[in-house]
Amino acid sequence: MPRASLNEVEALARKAARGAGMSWGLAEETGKAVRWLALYGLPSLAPLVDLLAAQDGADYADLRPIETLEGDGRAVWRASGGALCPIAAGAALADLAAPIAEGRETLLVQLREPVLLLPFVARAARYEGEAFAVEAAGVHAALGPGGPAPFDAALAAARGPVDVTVHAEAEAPAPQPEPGVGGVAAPGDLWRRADAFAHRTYVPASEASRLSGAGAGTSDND
Amino acid sequence: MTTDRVQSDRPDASPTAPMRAPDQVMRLARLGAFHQTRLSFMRALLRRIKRDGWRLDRPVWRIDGTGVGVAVYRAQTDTGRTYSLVCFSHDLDPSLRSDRVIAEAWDATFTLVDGAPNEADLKRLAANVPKQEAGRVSEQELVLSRANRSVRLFDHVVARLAEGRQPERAEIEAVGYLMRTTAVYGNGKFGLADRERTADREELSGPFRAEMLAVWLIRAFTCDLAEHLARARGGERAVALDPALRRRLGVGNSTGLGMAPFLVTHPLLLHRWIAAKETALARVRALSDADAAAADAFRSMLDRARLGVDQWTTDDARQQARIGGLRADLARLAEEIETGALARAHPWDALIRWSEEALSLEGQELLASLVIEPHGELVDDLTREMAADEESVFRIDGRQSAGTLRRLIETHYAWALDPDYDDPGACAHFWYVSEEKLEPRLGRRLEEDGAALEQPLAVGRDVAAAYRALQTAPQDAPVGQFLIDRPEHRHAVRRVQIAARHAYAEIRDNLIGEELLPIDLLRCKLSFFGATRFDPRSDRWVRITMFQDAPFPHEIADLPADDWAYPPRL
Repeated sequence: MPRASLNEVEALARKAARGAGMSWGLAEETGKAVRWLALYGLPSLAPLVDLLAAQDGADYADLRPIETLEGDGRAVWRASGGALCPIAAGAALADLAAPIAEGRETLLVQLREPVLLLPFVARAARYEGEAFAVEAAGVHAALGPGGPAPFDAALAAARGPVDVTVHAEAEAPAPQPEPGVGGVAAPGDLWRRADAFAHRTYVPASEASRLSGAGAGTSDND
Repeated sequence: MTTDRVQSDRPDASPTAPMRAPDQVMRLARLGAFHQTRLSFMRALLRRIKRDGWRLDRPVWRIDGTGVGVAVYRAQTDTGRTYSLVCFSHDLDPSLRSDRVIAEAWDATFTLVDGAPNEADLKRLAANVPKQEAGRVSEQELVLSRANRSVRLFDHVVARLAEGRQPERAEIEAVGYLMRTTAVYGNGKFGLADRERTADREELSGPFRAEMLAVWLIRAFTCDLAEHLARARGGERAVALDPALRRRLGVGNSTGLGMAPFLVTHPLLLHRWIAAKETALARVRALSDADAAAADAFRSMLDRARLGVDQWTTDDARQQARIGGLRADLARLAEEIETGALARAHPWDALIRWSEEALSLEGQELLASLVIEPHGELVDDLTREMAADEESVFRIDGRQSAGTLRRLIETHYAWALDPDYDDPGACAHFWYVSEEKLEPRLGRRLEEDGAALEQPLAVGRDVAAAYRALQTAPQDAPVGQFLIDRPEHRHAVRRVQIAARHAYAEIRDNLIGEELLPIDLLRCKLSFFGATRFDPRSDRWVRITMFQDAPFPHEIADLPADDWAYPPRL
């Protein structure tokens, strides 16, 4: 199976997200998230291309989290379109993790591709200095300030949309060892699907742009 | 962790004069007039190699009489690691020789291997490295590069050496190198090792250090190849290059727009580079007097810098005029020195202040490099502050209030709020990625298609747009909520939060305006590498020289490692 560097995986994910209509800032988030998942050997490009296909053409306003506070103190995040985007929800969660760290449980209703949420929770744990847990359909993932605990094998299979709960953990889990840095597997079909989205960000060449766009001459015989 | 990093950005050394303000430094015109300093990456690398006694040799040389084959240059470090430059030398049809990053064949192709390649590795690399972007390398490889001959000079040198004569010094000095690299890739491109693989290695702990090592070894290869071909042609009559003349040969590089977005997409790294240089300058300016050794060294370096400016040639009319101005600047500076400028109180500070009135930007920035030059003991530690992990500042502080963020923009982005971006002159350009070559390009917004696919490099315009949106948002609402509602501002908000904590993170000019000269971005970056003799070939493409006058790998144990940034008086 062909292999790719984390840098290539991140760049492809960022471009694919942008090509599928995300804002640049959320596309950057997507690149970092997919890189983190690839580093830890979790599904990365696969959930992303499925997410982008599911949300292709959707209005972002229908995918973003809208918060309501329940009487029991829980926060509930819903999307007006029915299913939450894990990148939009993840970015918001990482930005606004403090209330969760302070004990407010947050329910994410019908979250697509829940594995894509994990990198954002990992970031929240690192910056808040608190441990968080993610629960979805019987799968439990714990992420502490020092890194994620060893993953539940069922995590890789968790797809969506599914209700997901994020809450603070009293005790930080023992993190799994830092993964070694090497290439990551990059199956050609996945790569092509992601690349098809990325391709939408490129500008076709014209004669004029070929000449002026890069600004270099064509001959080097001097 | 974040707090530590912020503190380390302002090393707490002895009394310093104030740092130059970002509004003064971070302008394209000034960044585009930067010169190498003793903090430059090539120089930091060679000092380190010398200090730690790296062992350097050439275990493989299988190049035939036509110049085709493979060679390996090896660096064994004091830390017990081995890095090997594998060189593939080709017989290139001249019609295929192109400066552009998009060429498909070259005179020589290279990869820097992490370790010592065996025969199986060499076979795998031989099938891929000559194809460059179209091939595939692995996480064992750190750098991928290629070079073309400077045909006239290369032929002249080979012909002369084959006849048993030395090449003409004037010919060598007019060009300055035998080969020119057209790309030096690292950091995970085309399957190369990710930066993380080597980030913890002490011997590679500086920005672009593996790339600089590869280029230094490539330079050795270019001279070895010319001498090899002369022997093949001239047999017994052939001679090797005179060592002093040989050192006059650097290695060239041709760089286009592909490099330009880098400084914009790495704000923390840009801050660290500039902060290191500005901290060095501030430490020197804080000195109350110039001791005799520093004054002598300064005079000597000024003299050599004037020689370097005399040897700096370009066909570019704008740069020619700037070099002319620089020559006059240095004459004025020499006069200042002769009339006792170094005997005054706070002489270095006084000189810098004087230059801001008396000299061009080229002259001001060369003087900044020159006053830093004699003060290695005071500033060389700063090379350790020049690496950065952008990930460490990626997180957005969503708890910050919209009102606070708005005020940060007013404080740090006044320059961005000024232009009217609907004015055609203020939005003349757009950055994009071409479908054909997947490389960054610059288009004209009103005349070319594709602006809808613009890359996020219009920082000033985008921050101004975020500012307008923030004005209508509830001022006490958290930024995190603002970004849930307005995700189109997320990339700009991230930059503002980074720039608010890192003074030199942002270029304070309109990167899409009519006046934009992309070579200013290229020159800034290349000056930190340690490049000299900037030779613009257009407003978006520049040739440079690297490692000119530096010792070769076989010489560095016996020669000074860091006495080559200004040419020697021979």
